[in-house]
Parts: sequence; C-alpha cells; structure tokens
Amino acid sequence: MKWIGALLILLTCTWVGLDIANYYRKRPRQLRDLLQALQIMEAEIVYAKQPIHLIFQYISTQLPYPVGFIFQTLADRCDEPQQSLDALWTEVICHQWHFTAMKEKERNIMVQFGQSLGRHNVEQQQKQIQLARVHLQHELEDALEEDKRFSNMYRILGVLSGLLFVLILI
Amino acid sequence: MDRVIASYLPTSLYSLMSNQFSQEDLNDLEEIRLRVGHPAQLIFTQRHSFVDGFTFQATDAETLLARISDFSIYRLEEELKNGYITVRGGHRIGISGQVTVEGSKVQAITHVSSFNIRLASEHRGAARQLLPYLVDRHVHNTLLIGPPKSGKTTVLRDAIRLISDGTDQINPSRVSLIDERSEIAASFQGIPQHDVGQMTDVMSDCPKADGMMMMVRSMSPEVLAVDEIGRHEDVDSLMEAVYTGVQLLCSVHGFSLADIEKRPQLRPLIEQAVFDRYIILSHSPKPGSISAVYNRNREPITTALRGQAYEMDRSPSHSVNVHMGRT
Repeated sequence: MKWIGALLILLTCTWVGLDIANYYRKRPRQLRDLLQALQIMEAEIVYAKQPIHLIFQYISTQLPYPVGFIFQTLADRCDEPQQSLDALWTEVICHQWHFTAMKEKERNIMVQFGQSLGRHNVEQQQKQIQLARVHLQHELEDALEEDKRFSNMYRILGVLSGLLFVLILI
Repeated sequence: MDRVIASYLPTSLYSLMSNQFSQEDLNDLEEIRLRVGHPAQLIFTQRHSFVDGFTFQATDAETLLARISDFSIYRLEEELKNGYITVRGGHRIGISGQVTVEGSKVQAITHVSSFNIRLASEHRGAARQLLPYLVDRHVHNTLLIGPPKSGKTTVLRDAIRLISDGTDQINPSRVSLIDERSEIAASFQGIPQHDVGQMTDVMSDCPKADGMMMMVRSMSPEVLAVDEIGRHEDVDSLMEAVYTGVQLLCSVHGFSLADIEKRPQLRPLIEQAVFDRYIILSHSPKPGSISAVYNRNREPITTALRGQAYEMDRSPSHSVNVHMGRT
C-alpha cells in the first residue's frame, strides 16, 4: 500500500514537472506561428490587397492550434454588426490568450498591433506589421533562451522533487 | 433602403431614420450626406431634410470608413486618391477631407470629414422615351447633355441596356462601355452591379481615351458608350473612334447646347458635326426629362417635354414607344 502511494506521488510530481517544461517548449513554437501569421498577413496586404476577414480566414487554415484558432475566431466574428475591428481584435486576443503558452508581453504586442490594423494605407500597414514582428522576434529569442535553460531543469526537478517527497514520507 | 448602405450607417442613425421617415420616403432617398460635427442630411428627389437628434462625430467617420473598406483601409488607396468609393450594389460614396500631396499630385485623402452617399437608382425605362430619337435603323451618334443630377447617368445606363438587349423596334447591338468613374455599370471587382444589357462589355475604371481604343481593337463594338466627356484626350480619341465605324453614345455636363458650343475642348466635335443627335436633359419636372432634341446641324427636332404625366400624345409616330409611366 505504501509503495502505491509513493509511486503516485512520484508520478504526479514528474507530471507537474513535465507540464511546466512543456509550457517552455511550446512558447517558441507558438511565437514562430505568430510570426508566420504576420508574415502571411503582410504578403496578403501588400501584394494581394485582400480584405482583412479573408486574410484571417486564410491564416487560420495555414496555421495549427492555437494561433490558427485565434484567427479562425477573428474571421468568424468579423461580420458582427457595429463592432470595430480593434475592439474585436483586443477582445479575441485577450480571451483566447490563456489557451496559448505565450506570455503577457506577447499579448501586449499583439493588442498594440491590433490598434493599427486596417487603419492605414499599405505602406504604413507594412511598417506596423514589421514593427510587431521585430518585437515578437525579440520575444522569440527570449523564449528560446528560457526553453533551453528551464525546460530540462523543470523536467528533472519534477522527478527529483517527487523522489524527495517519497523519501520524506517513507 | 438598400441593405448594404444600412449596414454601413451608424446604428443610431439608421434607427432614427426608420423612425422619422416612412418607408416610401426612404425609397425616394437619393443621397445621405454626413459631415463631422453636423446632423445627417437626407436628400430626396424633391426636398431635403435633416435627421433630428443625430450628430455625426469624428469617431463615426472613422468607423464608417472602416466599414466601407471591410476594415481594410489599405485596399482603398486608389479610391482615396480619386475621392470616391464604389461599394457593392453600385452605390457611390464621395469623400472629402484633408488631402496629402506629394510632388503636386494628390496622394490620398486623410482625415475624411464629409461623406456623400449617393444611392444608385436603376430606373428601368428611363430612356424609353428618347429611344426613337436615338435609334432609327441604326444607333445615331448621340450626345446627352444635362446639368448635374439631371439623370444623365441613369438615362445613359438605360439607353445602353435597351440598345444592348434590343426592343420590339430595334435589334440588339454589341455595346462597349468605358466606365471611367464606375458610375454606369458600377462594377464591383469587375462585374457590373447594374443591368447594362446582355450584349454589353464593360471596361471599368479605365481612362476613357485609352479605353475607347482598347475596346475598338479588342471587342469589335457596334456602339461605344462613355460618360462625362470633357478632357482634350477624350475628344481626340472620340474623333478617332467615330471614323472606325463605331456609333457613339456620350454624356456631358451642361445646361444647353450653347454651353457645349462654348467649351473649347468640345469644339472640334461640334464643328465636325460628329453627333447626329443632341439630347438636352433637365431635372424638372423629374430627373431624366427631355427638354430638347437637336439634329446633326443643331436644329431642334422637338422641344416639347415628353413623358409627363397626363400628357396627351398627338404625335403620329412612335406612339408605341412613348412610355407614360403607366404599366
């Protein structure tokens, strides 16, 4: 009986450690998706001059969950009457953000970017997109660094803390 | 009122409009004028009126522009340069505001402060009454003359449709329409939003001078229709087109034939007697009324106003064509 309990504690701690490590691993991947989304957006705006809801639709088919899902939601809600785009953007981004592994900083960059979306001519819009991409690129570098530093650490820490609890309780 | 336009307007304005005006009134609506800091103005065929309790704000202007562009202002570069936007349904939204200039050329209108939403109206049969003057075995080279809001565009559109579809009296002809300001066919992404007939090819947003030559070369038209001629290049290519055996159908701004004769750019057309018919339109008693028709030598054929309600038809000819608005 005692051994089963010990095993349960060990498994739980390992799982918690892996989960936290996973979070660090997912963040750069999702940031890359986001960067790719902005890149698609730039191309569609500058060359194809598509309306924004079609761009959202297109991005959502190109990218995996959760970034693709955010754009899917945006595309679906674009035809709601009397909703301004920046309000919709902010609402969707803030609402969907906890499904992602990304942090407050990235969210603020995206919200900020949303304020300018669809309000300027092509050149200005392109500049805004590039600005957002530069910011996100910085975050990506940070995220990669953290991934390298923390994901392994948390994984091992999980297992070791499990062992520690087991030893203490035995 | 059109659903497309209703979806663009601020909700509060739309509900006030539906409350203050009856449905028949709104069907009669020609323009909605919105100016920042002022109440919305509605212009009907005969009168105009302000919407009580609604003042158009700067934020409304921004939202309206965003809605018109589907939240994608970057798509409107060309339109912001020209000062008007054609939307689905063929409606035309004129804009004014602050202009940014680069190298003495208008770059774009920024801070748009005034909107003029012109509701496109498609009056089928508007040109039926002048068809006898236009066509007689073949289509005459015709110049439609009228002041702004006299229904030139509406009449021209209907004339194009009738010529292109044909009627009991006339055979259908191939029509090529150069729609520089997208007012006649109101193309949205290249597809005409108004019915301009089944044998009509449309070149939209194309400079008239280039468009006419392109059409003559590529689409072998029988009739070439253009709107609002006036610039020097337009007249040059009209002169060229007329000798390629194509019949012309044009409209021009002006109150009378005398006005046209005075305009220096148009003089070659008049002097060389390019046109067989000059049709003067006026906006009273209603837009699209014919006030006079002149022949090739600028002699009046008729100055009688036709197509009025309760008019007695004494003419021996074309009695079938005279459409009195009764169905």
